[in-house]
This record gives sequence, structure tokens and C-alpha cells, in this order.
Amino acid sequence: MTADDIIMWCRAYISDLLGIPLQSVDPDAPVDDFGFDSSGAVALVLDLETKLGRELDPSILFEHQTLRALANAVVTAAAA
Amino acid sequence: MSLLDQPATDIPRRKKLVSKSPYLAALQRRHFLLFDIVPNLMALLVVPYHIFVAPVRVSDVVVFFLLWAVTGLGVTVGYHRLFTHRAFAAPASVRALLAFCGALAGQGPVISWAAIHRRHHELSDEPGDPHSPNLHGQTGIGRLKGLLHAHYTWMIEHDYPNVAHYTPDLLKDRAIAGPSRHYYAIALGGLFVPGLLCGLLAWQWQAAVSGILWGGFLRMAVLGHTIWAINSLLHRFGECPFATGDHSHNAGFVSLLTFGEAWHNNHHAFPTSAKFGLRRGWSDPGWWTVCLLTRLGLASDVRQPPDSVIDRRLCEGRGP
Repeated sequence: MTADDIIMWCRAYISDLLGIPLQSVDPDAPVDDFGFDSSGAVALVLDLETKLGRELDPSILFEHQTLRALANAVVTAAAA
Repeated sequence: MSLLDQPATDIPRRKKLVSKSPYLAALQRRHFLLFDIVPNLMALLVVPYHIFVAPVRVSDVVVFFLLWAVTGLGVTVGYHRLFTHRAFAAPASVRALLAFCGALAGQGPVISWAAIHRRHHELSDEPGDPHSPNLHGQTGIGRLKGLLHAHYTWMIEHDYPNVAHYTPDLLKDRAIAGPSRHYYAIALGGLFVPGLLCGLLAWQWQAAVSGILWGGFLRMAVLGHTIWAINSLLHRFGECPFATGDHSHNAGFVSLLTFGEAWHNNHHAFPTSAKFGLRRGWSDPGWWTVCLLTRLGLASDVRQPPDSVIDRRLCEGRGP
């Protein structure tokens, strides 16, 4: 998966989880803006782990506030 | 080729139901310190404060009972019966108010609380139950360790449930998003604001200090131990009128003090029932509150088992 694929997956995931339109999930906005709290952030990372088949640290979304930063961090970590 | 570029395998991967990491453990330890250790220590100051500094005031007792009742009902009617078990329906304003009152209790944000509790029912007294007293062996030491774990120490560090799996309905509820996200501010505010109001009304710093001790710390400690005792003692001791396949028990003699939560075996037998005290005379203040909300038009679709089903389950036999 590329960073763009991960961003798209995360946007669809949050849209579905919170029941909000996909367009409102801006990949460059802090995830806090969607009304996404820490419990949702942990769920997203858990399900992204399943999707990617590799472990991620739950702190990753707290450290990288936006979906784009998260996706870049995941891809960079995988390439390392 | 990086790991991410590898083709996706067709083997379906199992969804992860819980998370455990040093990062989450650090958050859990901070919560435990703030809301489970500090209130207990501060509650110990109540007696010396009144012996050496100032006598007990009427406002101390009033603010204690008021906040105790508000937070107790917030937990049992809101967090437990409404949000975890969907035992009745309520308009957005009532859902927000109940989530707020529950948050004041300092037992966690509503979505996390409900997810942990749904997992408890899913695995009751089996491995993976977040707070069973029955999984530490049958020796004397093991049974004691189990009780301590179920009552208190499980909260220091525990598996964190995947809320997308356990509570997807609550994540979509905009009415409770605010109380859930601002949980820390609400719980901390609840420790200090009622006492400060007592101080302002009396215009005396002593009234503020004792108001904070009684309406904040002592109240949170008392309700905490009440709810934790359901997890610990009532999965070990008491009566089991219903066979539930777990170790849940009733302790009807403390039903008033626990807002009806002490009918714990009844609750495990009929988890989606808004009524825990299933029989006439089985007092259940949480149920009375649901009835009051219904009378006011603020609750609907209230679920409770028919008497015939209760009778049949009672005849089917008792638990362990």
C-alpha cells in the first residue's frame, strides 16, 4: 500500500466509524477535528495493523496528528 | 521491496479485539493514579481534618450525597444500562446528561467504559475478562489475588478493547462525543467545583476545603469501591438464583447502596433488561430512575423480561 492508499483507507474507516461523510475527513486536518477521540484512534491503528499485517504502535496517531502524517510515517517505517 | 509493497495475501487476518502497549499502559497508570489512588488518600484526610481544623458542616453531607447519587445514577443508568446494554432509548439531551454524570464518577470515558464492560459480559469469568476474581488459581493466595485484581489492580494496566468492534454504535452517537472527549475536564472539575461552590456560598475557605473533601474525593472513593465490589465480591460471594454460566452473584441487602447494581446475578441472566431488581420488593434505584424518565417522556423502548421467562429461568436452576 502506498501512502495515498493508506490515507484513503483511513478516511473510509473514520467516515464509517463515526457515520460522517467521506468528504469531511480531511487528510490534512488534525484527527481531533472529526470528533475522533483516543479510543477511536486506538481502534484505527489496531485495524490498520490487521490490514497491513504488521505491528504498529498505538501512539503513532497521537504523535502524527493528521492522516497524511500518519500514512507517511507508516510507509517510512516499513521502508526502513 | 518494502513490506508494504508485498501483494496482499488472501488469507483473512483475524481482527484484533484488544490492544496492549507501553503507550496505553502509561495512560492507564496516569488515570489510575488520578482517580483511583488520589481520592482514596485524600478521603483518609477527612477525619483528621475535622478533628484538628474544622467541624463537619451540613453542606459537606449535602454535597456528598448529592454528588454520590448523581454520579452513581450516571454510572448505573447511563454508562451501564443505557450505553453498554441499550436497555432503553433516550433523547440526545438525556444521553448527553447521563454521559456527563457518569464521567463525573472518574471511572473512564463512556465509550471506553462500555467497551470494557461489553468485553466483560462476552468473556465473563473466562480468560480475557478484564476483571474476573476467579482466574488466579484456587489456592488461598490465588483467591485473594483474584479479589484484589478484580477490585482494584486490574485498572493499573489492562488490555484496551477495540471500540470499532465493541462499541461502534456509541462512536456514531454525537450526543455523547463531547462528554467522552472532555472526560478528564469533567471528572477533575467534579472533584473541585461542588466544594468550591460550598465555600463561595458560606464565604469561608473551611467550607470549600471540606466541601472538596466530601463532595469530591470521599464521594469518588466511596462510589469507586461500590462499583469495584460488584466486579470483585459479587463474582465470588452471594446468591445465584439464575444459572448464568459464570460466577455472578446477588447481594440484595446492599441493593439500595449500589443503586440496584447488587442484583448482579439477575443482570448477568438478563443483561439487556433495564430492571435489575426483577421481583416486587427487590429494590433497584436505577430502575426507579428509568421509570421516572419514562413518566417524564424522556425514556422509551424500555426492555425487561416477561415474568413468565423469569419464572422459567428460576425453575431451571441456580448458579454455582
